[in-house]
Amino acid sequence: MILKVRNLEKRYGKLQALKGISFQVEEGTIFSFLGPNGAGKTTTVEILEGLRYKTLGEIYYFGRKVEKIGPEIKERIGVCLQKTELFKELTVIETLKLFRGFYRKGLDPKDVLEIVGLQEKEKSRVKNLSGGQYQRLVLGLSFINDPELIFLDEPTTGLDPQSRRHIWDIILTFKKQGKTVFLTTHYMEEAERLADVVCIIDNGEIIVSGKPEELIKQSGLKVIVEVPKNAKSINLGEIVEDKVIIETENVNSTIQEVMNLGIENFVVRHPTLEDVFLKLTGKGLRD
Amino acid sequence: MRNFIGLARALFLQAFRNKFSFFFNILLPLIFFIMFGLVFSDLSGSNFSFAYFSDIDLNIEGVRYRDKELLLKEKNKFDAIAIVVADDEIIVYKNFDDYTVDSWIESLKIELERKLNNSKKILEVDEKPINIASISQLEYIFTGTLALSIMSIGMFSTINIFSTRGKSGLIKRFKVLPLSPTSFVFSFSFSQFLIGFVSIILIRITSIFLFSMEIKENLFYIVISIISSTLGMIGFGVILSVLFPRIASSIAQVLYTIFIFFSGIYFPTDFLPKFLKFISLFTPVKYMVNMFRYSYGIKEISQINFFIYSIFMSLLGIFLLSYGGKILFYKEE
Repeated sequence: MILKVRNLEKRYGKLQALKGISFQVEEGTIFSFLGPNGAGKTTTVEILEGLRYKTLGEIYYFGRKVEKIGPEIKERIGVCLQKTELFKELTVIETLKLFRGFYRKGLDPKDVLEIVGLQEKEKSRVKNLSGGQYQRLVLGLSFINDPELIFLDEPTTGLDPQSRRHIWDIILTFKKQGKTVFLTTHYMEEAERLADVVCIIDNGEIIVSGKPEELIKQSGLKVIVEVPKNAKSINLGEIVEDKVIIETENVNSTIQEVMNLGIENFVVRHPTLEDVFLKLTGKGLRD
Repeated sequence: MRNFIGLARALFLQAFRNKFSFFFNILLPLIFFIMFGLVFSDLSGSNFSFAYFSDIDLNIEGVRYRDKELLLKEKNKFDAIAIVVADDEIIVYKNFDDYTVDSWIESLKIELERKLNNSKKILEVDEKPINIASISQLEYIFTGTLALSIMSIGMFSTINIFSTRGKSGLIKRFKVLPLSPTSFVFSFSFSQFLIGFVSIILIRITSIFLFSMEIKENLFYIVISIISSTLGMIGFGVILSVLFPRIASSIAQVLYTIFIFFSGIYFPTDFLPKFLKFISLFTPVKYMVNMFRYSYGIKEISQINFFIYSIFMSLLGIFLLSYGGKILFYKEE
């Protein structure tokens, strides 16, 4: 067990951001915290990174209970914050060398450049990188110390689909190398594609956790029919953003019902983690 | 203290490559120096004024007084006066300690020797400083500019790091590293000292090439002035960042302007009305300016005051910096 958390609580005055959550992360897996904005994902991860203090609860790192996330833990973990500022005037290689210098052991910055695919940008200033390149550099910094556990807090937020896929490939490389990844995301597709274990969190509580396919199976959801939100469709199912999600066991009769209302542009698909979340909380991941 | 040099180097490069900080830390003080220097300095020659009393007419620069008592009475009107009291003795009263004054005394000696017996008789020169604080406008501006540059380097850099913007961005990334606040603040201070040294060297080079400025320099005092002034201004930046985390930068820009006028950087605070002169006592830059002037042989303050100012600024800076470092690294946002 690389990380174990028991009854973790966090209060900001009267607001209880985390309501006694417990989970554990197995070595060599990608563990994902999935939830909407404000669910408590970043609070959890920042407590584990040492950026915030817990109000109550226990944290076990590498089999030992820790009260404070000190340098000995920081040597063994890698961190990719939700929003990372770097020295914009340094070059890519200068930045990697700088961060490498903070750790006792780690990877050669040139190797990291290769993994994140920034060899051609080695001598470019950080300020001249595109959004995707910048994020790849930030990701590179998260494993410059060759960590056992890497925290990635919404690493693909705001990126275009191509950059997002590039980041996913890098994350999958970590897994191949036997690293453990703690990933927070509000992208259902990201969690489904990358995670071995998903923990769905909302309002400071863990609603459910398990392997993505198991969670979908356990939810009892059969088939989803998705129709655009309008006056005719509004009462057919749960409204999520500009769509109405209809969960059904009898696809034919549901389609017939939809068509009878004059709705022709509908989608029939298998349930996803987002549907599981919708079923459990009554709201969408991006609400 | 791992990667102390690496972090200091990064902070130094960031400050030098960033156009905004380069402009404020290096270029703006330099521009002010060149601008005010050109306006106020007389590039064509010396502005020094001399007078002497002698029974015999001497072919040297300066006003000849025939009444010794009158000259003594009016001695403050000149940069230096000489009273030839006997064939082999000259009493010199110096208002200004400069090589030009020394040259004048030397030429006076030679002229007197020539007039008296055309021999190389050594005359006794009794130098009596009257008020050495008197300095040229260019030297005044030069030393003021040095203080201005250090103020800018210390204050703005600190605010960039310690204010809300810095804390939520760059510093947050450093907090997840195995890096102690002490290492961070040491690297930060060291990088600011380096920037300060570079800035001062650039201003000095400009003063030599553009204004052919010769001035007494005491490297020991200059180093002390740079370090203590930088620490003092870093401390000042920490205070602003802690008290006004969101608007510290704007406040600093207003203070920058105020300090220029009330700290004796480009003109003496003696010109200010009494109540404004009182305000100037509370501007830290006034004391920095005094320290730099002292380091360049312009003794507006005593040696004891110089050390009191430097110790006070250093201790205040170290205390506030360590306090700020702890807030920066341990306080939850």
